[in-house]
Parts: sequence; structure tokens; C-alpha cells
Amino acid sequence: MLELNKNRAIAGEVLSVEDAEVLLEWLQEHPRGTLDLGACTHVHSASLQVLMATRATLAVWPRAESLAEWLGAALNHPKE
Amino acid sequence: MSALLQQFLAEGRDFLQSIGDKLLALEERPEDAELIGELFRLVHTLKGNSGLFELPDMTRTLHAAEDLMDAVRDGRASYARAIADRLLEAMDFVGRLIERIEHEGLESIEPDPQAAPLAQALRALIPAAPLAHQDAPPDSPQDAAPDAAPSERLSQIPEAERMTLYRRLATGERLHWLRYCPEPECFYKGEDPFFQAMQIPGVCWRQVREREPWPPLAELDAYRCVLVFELISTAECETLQDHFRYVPEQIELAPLAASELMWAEGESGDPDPALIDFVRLARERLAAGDWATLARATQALLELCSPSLRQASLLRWLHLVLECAPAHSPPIDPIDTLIEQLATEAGMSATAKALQTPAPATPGRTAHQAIHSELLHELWEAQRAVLLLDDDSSPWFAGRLRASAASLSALLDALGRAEARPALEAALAAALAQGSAAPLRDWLTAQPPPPAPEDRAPASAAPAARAPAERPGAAPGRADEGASPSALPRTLKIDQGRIDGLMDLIGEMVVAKNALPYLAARAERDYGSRELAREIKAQYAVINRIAEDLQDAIMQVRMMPVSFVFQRFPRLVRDLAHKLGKEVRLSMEGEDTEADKNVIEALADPLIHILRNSLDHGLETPEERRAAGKPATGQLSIRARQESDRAIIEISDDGRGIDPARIRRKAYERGIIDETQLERLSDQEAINLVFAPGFSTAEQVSDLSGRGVGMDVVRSAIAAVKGGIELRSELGRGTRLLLTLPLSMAVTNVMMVRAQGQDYGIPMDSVVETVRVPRSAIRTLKQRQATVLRGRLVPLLALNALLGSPKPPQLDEAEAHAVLVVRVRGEPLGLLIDDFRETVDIILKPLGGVLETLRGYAGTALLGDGSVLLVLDPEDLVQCSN
Repeated sequence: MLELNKNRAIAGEVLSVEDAEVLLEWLQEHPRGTLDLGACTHVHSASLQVLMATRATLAVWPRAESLAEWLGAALNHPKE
Repeated sequence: MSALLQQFLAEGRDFLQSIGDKLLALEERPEDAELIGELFRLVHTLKGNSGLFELPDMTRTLHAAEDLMDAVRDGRASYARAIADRLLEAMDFVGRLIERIEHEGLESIEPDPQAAPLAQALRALIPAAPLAHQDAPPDSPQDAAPDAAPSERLSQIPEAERMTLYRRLATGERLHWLRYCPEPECFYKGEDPFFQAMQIPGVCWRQVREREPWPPLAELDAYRCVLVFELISTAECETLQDHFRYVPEQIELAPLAASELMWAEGESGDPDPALIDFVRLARERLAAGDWATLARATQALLELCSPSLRQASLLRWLHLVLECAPAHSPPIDPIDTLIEQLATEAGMSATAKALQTPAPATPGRTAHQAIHSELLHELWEAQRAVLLLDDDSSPWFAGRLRASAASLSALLDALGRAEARPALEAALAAALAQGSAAPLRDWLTAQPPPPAPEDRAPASAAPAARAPAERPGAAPGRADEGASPSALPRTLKIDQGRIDGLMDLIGEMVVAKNALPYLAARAERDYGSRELAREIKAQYAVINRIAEDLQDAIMQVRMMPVSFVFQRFPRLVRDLAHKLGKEVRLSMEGEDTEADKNVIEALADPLIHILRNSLDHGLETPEERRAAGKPATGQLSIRARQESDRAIIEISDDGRGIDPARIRRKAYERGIIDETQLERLSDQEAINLVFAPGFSTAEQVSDLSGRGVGMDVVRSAIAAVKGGIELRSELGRGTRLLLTLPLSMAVTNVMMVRAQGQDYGIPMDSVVETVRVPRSAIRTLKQRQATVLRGRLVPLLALNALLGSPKPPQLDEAEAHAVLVVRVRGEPLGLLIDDFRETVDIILKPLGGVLETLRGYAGTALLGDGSVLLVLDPEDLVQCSN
């Protein structure tokens, strides 16, 4: 489940293929919005593309290590 | 035969020739990757072309050859003589097929039992391919672009990561590089590439990027996949392939080699004396195998230099290589390469091997400096010109002075002469105060100008700077496989028959033109019109000039380079030398020397015969050579050059030479010379006996030469194209044969002479001089006549007698004989004739039909007045009268 607030999008366990479209729209409307992927264990490729294209800022990195590592490689900045 | 097939045959022959040349060149330089690539492409293209026709044998053989070359190119098989032998054999087979198609047509080609074993033999030389290659489907991207520079795929990995990977490889771990490019529509198939990638086991480096730049967000289609995953994994090749078994076409997979990781990053710094010292030391230590000192020196210098410099990066790598290597046997090659790169960095003489570097190589500093000093010089001169401008009253005068002074001040900085600046400023102030450029001008004159660049030609400096930058882009690709190996030559291939037809027409034109002077003479004589005669002569002059130009032009068309004959020699020499167990090095020069097609074609057989003789009789076996204190490899050289209107071909070897004593004995045994001659012959004369008919020195008839066909055949073949042959030999040192050939034989210049009331032509080639000899000066020795010309006895023969007429030669009013001195077999001979006539250019036609067997005549020619001139061959004439 993707929870969209004013400045922050909070992802559930999976950022799914359907979430991609929604996330893209939200990020366009909230260019300074940040993401919380703390609970996330998987990001679908479509959503990953959105994160990469929008250069979204991750406020909270996934706790799942493997995903964090891969996201770090994709978003070109190391996990925090 | 279809035009397509004809073209295939013609091209096929060219391809085979190039392939043969390349194979032989590879024997000299087996490491030449470019040559191997070119060879592969030639074979590949020929195979592709053969596929257009129903030629399964040819295609199969070429396919096997192509696979073998591919293996050589990829480094799976190393080039060796066995490979060359097999490939040459296969190309010979293809050549024979082409010949057969040409003569018997495509339909007559039956399956050849030779083809299958040939292909098998070729394939036997290909080592078993590694799994990655076997399993990859033929159209996978990996197969399509194996040339993608390895550094390209690794260029994103930072040095620290690469070093970690290098360490893992050094411990014996096997790593694989993998690129995964999912297709754009994969989301609609329920695929999730990111998930797929995350499941790859053993990933130790990864990168996710987009295939194309992201569009503006409003246009972004999140459901079109443009992701590319690249990673390095410790997993086995099979595991990775299995992981992507449903989308094998979307991955590229390759084992990771340590050398691929090793490239330097960072900027080039200023030349560092410490680095120069280090490189000297390192080269020395490398040669001595003193790894400990090398490692210590590397560490020490590393601490001194800024870590962001390229040299530091190279040093880190050097250190790492030394650190990871087993104590006593570090890998020499990478260390050597790194040291040489450091040498380049230090601005030292670049013996550096080009190293795969993703960043464009930095242009050499020397090139920089050359440009630099040239610029400074130009700027300096420009300021001088500005200060010399004579418009001190113009409103912008002050501004111009200031600008000029500012430029000069900057130039002083660049030249390192900052101390001169106060003087410059003072001069500027003075100039401004006086409203004149003079003080500045004086200052400038007093200053030493910047050193002029040593090499003023910018052309030489500029390419030096540009060349390295161009290199990365010039990676040899396979994209243009279909294109011919070199740029399309701007030449026409024309059937020789057409050229000959043109030539005949021009010949007729020459003859027709020659009729005009006769016409002019008739106009004057018969019709009494001198005016008309003069006009005809004027017209004749014009037509004559055009006809001569035409002749020249057609001669040029008929010219062929001797390489046409030479090109088969490397192969011939190689094969013969192998067969005879001799080691021979063939060198050829002047292959582009040109001569008439007929001359060149007539050369082929004699030259092959001469080469065979050299290889068989001249050059010794390696053991014999060593025993004689010579290098084991014999030298055989063929040199061609042009000297005025003759082409000279020189064939020399450093073999055992010709033994005159042995020749004398043989000649005597064979009854070629008698006992008195045996004593009297000089060494050179004895050597020349090898040209005598029926002479062969070989102790036994071998497979190669000495089949009874001797040098006399060679001599007559060369003589047939009006060439000469000269043999020089030094016992134990070698033999040298000199062939002199006319460039062209289409137009012959002959001297006309009169004998028994008829005109005959004698080729000018053999004419030495024309003299009139008083009857009293002719001596009779026994039955023969002779005279003394310039202190030399010249035998005389009456042309009438040679032609079988009993009439004595006529004397002129002064009781003298007209004597035409000709050269026969290198000796002068005087021909007694009735009178001399003019010389003419003619087109010589050999005697045909029943006249063909007539001896003593070179042929006939048509004269301008329509009469036929018989042209004599003095040498043959004298010979058959004896």
C-alpha cells in the first residue's frame, strides 16, 4: 500500500507495478516530496524507473539490505 | 555465364590472392591483430559470396576456414605454421574450384570428395570453445558485438572497486561480467527485470542505468522498460545462464580477466623528476626481477604524489599487482605495461604499448610544448606589428597601447620572465605620456624574443597532438563487413581484347598517318603544287602529334606492375623451401615497377625457373650454411626498378654460387666446348655457359628443377620480349641475375637498310653504330672478313650472304662499304649493306601462317606508302646462317 501525504510518500512492503503511475503523478505534483521506503522489500522495475527518472529523494532507505544496495546502485548515490 | 557469377569469379580470385598474401604476412607477424582481423573478414566475405551460388563444397570449406580464423582472432587458437598450411591448402582448393567453374561452368561442378576432409582438418585445429560461446545462441548481442571494448563495459567501475575485484581474481576466484537488457515491453509479459536481477547470486558489483536519457517527466512512460543492469558475479557461467534461461537473448556474459580491470584514472600532472627516476629504476628492477625493491620504490613514490593524479593511479595498480602476485613470480606483462605507461606519464620516450584506457589518451607533452611555443612566438610578433602601426593620433591609440602592453605582460608571465614587467609598465607610462608608441616599441626591441619553436611546421606538430585523441573512436568494427577491404579503387576492369583492339586501331592510324608525307611528295612532284604539299605536311605534323600521344596513352593503359608476377613468389618460395628443407627469407622490392603487359606476362615462367634454380641449386641447407659460417636462413631477393626506358629485375641469393671449374668440366663432358676452349675460357665466360642449350649442372634430376629445361630456355624467353640477361656469381657468396626488359614492345623503332635493292628493317635495340668503311680497310682472315674500329677487331658479314644471295654488297662513290654495326650476343658485328635509309617507328607483326617457321625475321610492318617492310632479327639470322 502506498500512502501519499503532503511531503512524503510512504511505501508498504512492495512498491508495485500499479504504484508506478501513481507515484509518478505524485512526484510531478510534489517535486520536493521525499520517500519513505523503510518497510519496503521490493520495488517493481516500473516503479524503479520512476524513482530513477524523477531523481526522487529517499528520506528513509529500505531496511532490507539487498534492496538498499541495489537501489543505491540504481539511484547513483550510496545508501544512507 | 551470368554477370553475377563472372563477378564472383573475378572477385574470388582477388580475394584468394589477398588471403594468401595475408597468411604469408602473418607468418612474419603472427601477433598482428589487425592482419588477423582483415584475414577473417576476407574469408568471411568470400564465404558469404560463395553462398549466392550452389557451391556447397566451397562454402563448407570456407566456413570451416572462417571458424578457424575466428578462433585465432579471439585468441582461442594461436597462429602457427600448421594453421597456415591448412588454410593455404583450403584456399588452393577454392582456387581450383573457381578455375573449374570458369572453364566448365557452374553446372559441371560435382561434389568433391576432397572438400569434407579439408573442412575437417581445418576444424580439427579449432580448440574446443568455452561454454559461454557454445551455448550462446547465434544471434545473441554477445555474438553481434564481441569487439565491444572490454574497457567500455567496465569503465563505470571506480578504481577502488576494480582493485577489490582484482584481489578476488588474484586469489583464484572466477568472476563473470553480465549485462542484462530487458526488452521494452517486458512489463506486459509479467516480467520484473529488477526482481530478476536482484535474484542473481554472488553479485559483487552492480550498476543499474537507463538505456536512453529520461524524457521530461510529463512524457515518461513508466511501463516501457529502458533499464540496463550490469553486474559482476562470482557465480558460475552455467548458473548465470540458467538464471536467464527464458531470456538468453537479453544478456551478455563474459568471464572477467584481471587485465581488463587494470586501467588508470585521474589527470596527467606536470612532469615529475621523481617519476622519471622511478621509471628508470623500475625498468632496471623489472629486468633484474627484483620485485621487493620495485614494490618498496612504488610505495615510496606513492606517498609522495597527489592521489588524484593519473600517475598515482598507475602506481597504485603497480603496487597492487606486486602485492597480489605470488612472491617470486609476478606477472611480467602487466607490470611492464604499467611501467611503460608511467614512462609516458613522465614524458619519457614512448615505448609504451597502447593500453586499453577508456579515457582518451593525453597528447604527448612534447606536442603541447611545440604548439605552445609556436603560439607564444606568434603573439609576440603580433604585438610588434601592433606597435609599429603608424596612427598615433587616432582616438583609440591609448587603448591600443594598453591592450598591447597587457598582452605582452601576459606573455612575459607565460615565458617565466615576470621580472621584466616593471620595465614594461614604465615603458607603457612613458608611451602614454608622450602619445607615441616609441617607448614601448623600444622596450620590445630590447627584449629577447621568445624562443622560436624548433619545428616551425605546424603540420608536423598538429597531427602528433591529434592522433592519440582519434584512436579510441577508430576501433576496428565489423559493421562494414560487406564492404571491400580497402576503399573502392577508381579503376576499370577491361577485357584485354578491347585494349588490343584499340591498340590495333591506333597502329592502323599510325600507318595511315605515315602515308601523308608520300602524298605531300606526290602533290609536289606529280601535280606541281608546292603550296598543297606544304599544307599536307602541316596537317601531318598535327596528326602525327596526336597519334603519338594516343600511342603513349595506350601504352600507359597496357602497363602493369611487376607485382602481378611477383605476388605468387612468396608462396612459391615458402612451399619450395619447406619441401627442400631449407630456410629462406624472400625480400621483394619495387613491386610497383611497371612494364607492358606482354613483357610482364612473359616474365612469369623465366622468373619462376630462376627462383627454383636459386632454391634448389643456389641456397644450401641450414646445416651446410652453418658449416660455411653463414646464417642458417638464406636470403633471396627480387628487386625491380626502372632505368630510363628499361625495367631492371635483379634476382640475387647468398647461396653457394656457381663454380666456374665445375661448369667447364660439365660443358666439356657434354661436348658444348672443346679442349682448347676449356683452357681459354675466363671464369665469367664459363659461368655464362649455363645459358648454353642442353646444359644442366644438377647432379641428379630433382623434382623441382633440372628437368632438362635449362637456363637457355630462360634466356630465349627473355630475348623473345627483347630483354637481356646477365649472370654474375661468386663462389660461396651467391649468385645475381640481372634481367633488363623493355618497358613497352608495342612500337618498335627500326633502322631501314638497303640490300639487294630491297629495304629491310633492323630493330634499333640491336644497332650499335653506322659507319662507312673504305674497301681498303677490310681485312680478310681466312675466309672471314673483318675490320678494325677504334682499335677493336669487328667481324664483318655481308647481309646479302646472310639472306642467301651471292651478290656482293655495293660500294658507294668513295669506294667504301656501308657497315651497320649490330650487337649479337653482346659482341659487335658489322653487317655489310648497300646503303642506309631512315629510321621509322613501326608496329611489328610477327610472321604468321606458313611463314611462321621462317628463321631470321622478327616480323613485318606496314609502311606509310602501303609497302611491307621485312624486319630482321640479326641474332637469329647470324645463328641460323652458321
